[in-house]
Amino acid sequence: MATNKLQSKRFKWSLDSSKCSKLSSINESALPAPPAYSTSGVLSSGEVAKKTDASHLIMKKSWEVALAPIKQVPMNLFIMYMAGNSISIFPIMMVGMLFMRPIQALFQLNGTFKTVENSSVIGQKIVYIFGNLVNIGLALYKCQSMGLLPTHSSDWLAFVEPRVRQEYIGGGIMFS
Amino acid sequence: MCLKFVVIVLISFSTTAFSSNVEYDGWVNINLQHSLTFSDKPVFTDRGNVTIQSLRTGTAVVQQKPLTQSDRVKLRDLSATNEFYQLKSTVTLADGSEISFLSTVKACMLVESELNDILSVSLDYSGRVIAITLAVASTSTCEGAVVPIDKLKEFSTSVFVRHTENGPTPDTATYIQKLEREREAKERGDVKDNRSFLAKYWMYIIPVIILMVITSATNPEGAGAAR
Amino acid sequence: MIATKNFKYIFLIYLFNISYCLYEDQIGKFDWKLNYVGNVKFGTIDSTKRVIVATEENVIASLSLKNGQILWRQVLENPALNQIELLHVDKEVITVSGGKGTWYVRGWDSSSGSLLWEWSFYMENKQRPYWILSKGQLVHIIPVLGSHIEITSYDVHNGRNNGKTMKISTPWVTDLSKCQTAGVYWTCISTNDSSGQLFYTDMLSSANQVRTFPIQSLIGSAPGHIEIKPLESGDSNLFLIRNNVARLLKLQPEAPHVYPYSLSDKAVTAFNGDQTLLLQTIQNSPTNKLTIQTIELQEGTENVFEMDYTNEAGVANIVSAVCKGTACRIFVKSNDNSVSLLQLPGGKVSWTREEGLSQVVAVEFFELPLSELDASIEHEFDSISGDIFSTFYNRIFSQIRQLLVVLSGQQGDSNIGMVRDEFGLHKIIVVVTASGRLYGLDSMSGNIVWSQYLKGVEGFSVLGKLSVPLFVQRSARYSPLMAQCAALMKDKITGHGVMYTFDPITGQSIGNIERLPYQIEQAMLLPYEDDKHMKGLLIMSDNYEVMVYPSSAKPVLLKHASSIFFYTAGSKSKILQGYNLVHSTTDSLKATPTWTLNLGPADLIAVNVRPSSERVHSQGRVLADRSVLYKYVNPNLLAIATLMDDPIHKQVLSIYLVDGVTGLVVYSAAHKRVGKPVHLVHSENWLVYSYYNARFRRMELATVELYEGPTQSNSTSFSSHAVSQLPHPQTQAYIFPGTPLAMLATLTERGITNKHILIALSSGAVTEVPWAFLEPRGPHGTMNMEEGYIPYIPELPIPAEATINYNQSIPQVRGIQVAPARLESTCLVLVYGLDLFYTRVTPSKTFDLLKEDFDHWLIAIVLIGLIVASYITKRLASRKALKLAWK
Repeated sequence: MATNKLQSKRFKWSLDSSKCSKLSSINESALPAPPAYSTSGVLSSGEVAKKTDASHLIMKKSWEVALAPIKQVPMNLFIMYMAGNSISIFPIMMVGMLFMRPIQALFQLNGTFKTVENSSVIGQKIVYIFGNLVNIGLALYKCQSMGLLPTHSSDWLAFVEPRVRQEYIGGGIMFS
Repeated sequence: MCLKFVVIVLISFSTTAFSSNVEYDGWVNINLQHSLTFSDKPVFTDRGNVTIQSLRTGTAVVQQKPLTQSDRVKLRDLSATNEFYQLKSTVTLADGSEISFLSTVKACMLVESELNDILSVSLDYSGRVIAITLAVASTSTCEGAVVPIDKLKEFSTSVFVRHTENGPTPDTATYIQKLEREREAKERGDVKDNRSFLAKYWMYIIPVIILMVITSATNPEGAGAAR
Repeated sequence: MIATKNFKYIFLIYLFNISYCLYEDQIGKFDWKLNYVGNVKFGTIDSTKRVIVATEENVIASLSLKNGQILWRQVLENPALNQIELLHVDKEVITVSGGKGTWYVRGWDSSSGSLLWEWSFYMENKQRPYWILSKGQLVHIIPVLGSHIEITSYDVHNGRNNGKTMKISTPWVTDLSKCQTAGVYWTCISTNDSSGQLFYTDMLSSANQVRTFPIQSLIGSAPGHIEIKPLESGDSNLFLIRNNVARLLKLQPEAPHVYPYSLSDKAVTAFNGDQTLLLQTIQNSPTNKLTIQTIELQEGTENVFEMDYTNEAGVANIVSAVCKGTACRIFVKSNDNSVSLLQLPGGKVSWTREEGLSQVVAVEFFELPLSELDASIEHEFDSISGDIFSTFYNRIFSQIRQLLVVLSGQQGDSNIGMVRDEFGLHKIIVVVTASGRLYGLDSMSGNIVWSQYLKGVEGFSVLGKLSVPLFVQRSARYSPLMAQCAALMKDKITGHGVMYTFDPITGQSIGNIERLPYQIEQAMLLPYEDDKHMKGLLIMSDNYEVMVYPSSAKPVLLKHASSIFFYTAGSKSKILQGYNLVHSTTDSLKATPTWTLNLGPADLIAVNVRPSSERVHSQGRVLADRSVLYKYVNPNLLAIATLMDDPIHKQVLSIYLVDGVTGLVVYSAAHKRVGKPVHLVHSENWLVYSYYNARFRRMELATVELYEGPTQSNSTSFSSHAVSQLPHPQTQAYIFPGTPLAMLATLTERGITNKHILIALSSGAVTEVPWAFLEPRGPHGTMNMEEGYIPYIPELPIPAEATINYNQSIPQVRGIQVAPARLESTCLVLVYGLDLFYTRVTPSKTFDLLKEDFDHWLIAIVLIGLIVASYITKRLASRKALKLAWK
């Protein structure tokens, strides 16, 4: 975890300063290299390491972003369990949150993956969408268990029209 | 399709049929006559005989001859013109007296069901026949139907003897029992609340958790820095 | 836990109950009550201040001479079994009432109506006795034909029997129609012609001497039927009537005195100081006005007065009169049972009381027409062809008119008077009385808007009750076309049908009274309208011919003949018969029998159908597992109650639910050892009935609810022919701590509102029982709170708050009629019996109406304040932002 952090920090820094390579070359010319130090080797190996490291990190970061919703699932499950099935203000707010977050996330899909701009994030996107869908599914399940989904015939009872009568009847007890 | 409905009817009819409370058992002979030309002065011809051997159990023997060719044609025409099929049932009681009942069904419904009909014999509380009604099991009516004549061979009649059940009475006994139970429960003292800790105090825990979630969500930097 | 649950139930019940009580300041706001005394039987003007009346309704009351208002009223026992037989007004008012051997003698304070004393006695002999009250002695006479009369005399104040029962040998008592009491005398004639003898004997003297005089010697011999009749309010005076001419006899111990005047047998006497005045009405007056003749008994001076009194119901009887000098007050009763006080010599009518309204037999509510203005707006949409400009012009024009009306302070509306209001609460109530008078009552005030008397007709006698079927052929909705209502009655003499069609709003008759050349067996209002929005009336005659009125409805009937069915229930034949009309042709309508139901020896006691205008909003009921149990809503279902004598179970009540189209018995149940009174209420998919349980000696209510099951066999249309499965009945019974006199379910416009059962009790209260209390809990949800079932309690509570007539008792209730208002929450109720009581009920509270004390001003001010405040703060905020930006 800690090494990861460091790496990402360095990565950030090197991304920020675009002239870093130039600067290093200036430094290089000003100061003589210490003995047994190969500039090209370090440079080239540094370049390679940097490149592979960056793409690796991007991948890593994007996967992290993609997996975040799924990582939330246990937490959501726990919240759901805690919220209970009674319909009152807190559980309703929770269910609202459960719904709002994944839906918002789905709408801001491209924005989320912009930071890790790269060519191959389709897989991550799919995973991300899947994770959010799982969350929505969880929210739906919560609604279902709270009885908020109109899945029973009784939920549609109010829309059942009275039946049209086909026959009319009249009469009564004889008057005489 | 029709068969399925017959089954439904069979079930629903039979549930009422066996809740018998007739005090005296007896037998009833019903002579069935039908009119295959619907007019205001119907001419009734013989259709068959039904003997209910025991009013209490509702067991019945149905004797019906196959329809003649001319009767089939008449029935088909009756159905095609959306007329009514009339049935006159004459009941001969054990003491020899006769009462006749009239019943009418839509001919097309009878024909569409391929002559599967139901004869409902309603009894009053003492076991006297008050009405004999012919019915056809169906979920909808028809406005005339043409059915091939070879399907109209023979009536297959199910007879249901329907007794008058005993009316409801105020249920004081169970109510008193219930009161009694409640009184006993009261005497035993209040029942311990044996719900789990979470189930009892969830309303206090949840706000705390929400608070935690919200705070962690708003400043992830801070959380990160803390680590 | 259980205790809290129990508490919840109680709370729930409390919640239900609290919904229909009234605040003190709401008394008389939604309701009105008209008090009556009934059909006057005896009446006496006791002083110059009041009239004491005793009526057929077993009521004794005092009316103010000044304005006819009831000063006091005492309602005695059930008039079907008990009748007031004697009214004696002296210092106190003495009544003898009772029947079937039990007699009550009561003394009343004439000024307050309070009971001073009371005693009763029981006679083995159930024969109706004759009574004489004189000098503090009440004489009870039972004649035994051809043999003797039994005389028992009592001290009227305490019932002390003065000596034993005397028997006087009277072999001349052969026919009770020829015998009368006149003052203290028992008198008979031997034959109904001039050759007979007049016998009389003093009942108070111990001598028991019988006097005999040939009638010939008293009034001469002439051919003709002779009757005797005592003179009302006269002592020892007797009329001998021959050919409608009466001669007055004064019976005396020695020989009767015959007065030489030709009188009518309806003459009465009035005491004027020491003079005695005879008053009688003259039948054949040249004008339509009532003419009264007065004769001074001793001197023979005759005076004729023309009264300022007209009543198309016919000549009034004089009930009682009192004179002081030349001024007389005459208390008269008309054929429509209204009573009036007339004044002589002026001939003025002081007041009139419409006592006919105490015998209401039929009630119908009618919607009022739109006001002219609303109608003009409605008409805007009538012309579809109109182009843009003309419709625009119409719209502007009607708007201007509307504005003008608003500016003129709605004077236009009050002039028109009877117009529909926004919520349809204002209606006209058409009421038919037993005496044959129709009244239109304003539902807002109870005022009589119009009245119409129908001569020589009476209602049909159905199961021992008078009934006048009213049919709404056209409502007031079709503005230029008049509303139309038809009443069916029968001719008093021939028994032939009489059809009276009238406009229920104005009371004007439409066409003449139609006297039909046959007896009416049954009638039915056709469900289909013709091109003039008129619903035809189908009438079946006694020889099973079918007619339709008006004839313009015939094509409509023929068009829909296959969907119209008809049934008759014979209370004598005990056969229910169904008919269809498919064989009808343009020449003749034919009713063809389709089904029969034979009740056998059982007596038909009630047939009930759902109200035709009823709508069922919810098609099912939700169970605890959130599935639906669909209701079996059969609009053609007849509820039939029969009572049969049984050697073992005494009486057996059978309840049948029969499909009226096919005759299929859908449900049947029997209750053993129960009896009358039985009342049925049939609504939606349920039936409520009340009966007397002879075994436990209590009233019980039973309910039946029919369900189709978890699926609907056909969700679009309902046909009685398609029997896919029989409904599942659910039943439940309750102990009802009261005696219902009438029961009805509330009715609302769309059927969304809960149902309440209105039950009129013998105590004079009309109570509301929510259907939720009566609903059968069934096997699906016993004791399940989640389903909304109230836990079953065998004895229904009758909380005082559920009494819709709060502290105003309504005695002798004969029926209840309800009508929906246009407001879904509200149902209009008229309870009729001796009194008329009108009110509104809201079974689900007024959920579609703002509370009366809703503070419109406060909410408006708050809203305006909020808007203003938001604008101000917006401005302030922008200024602050600007300032901040400059910093």
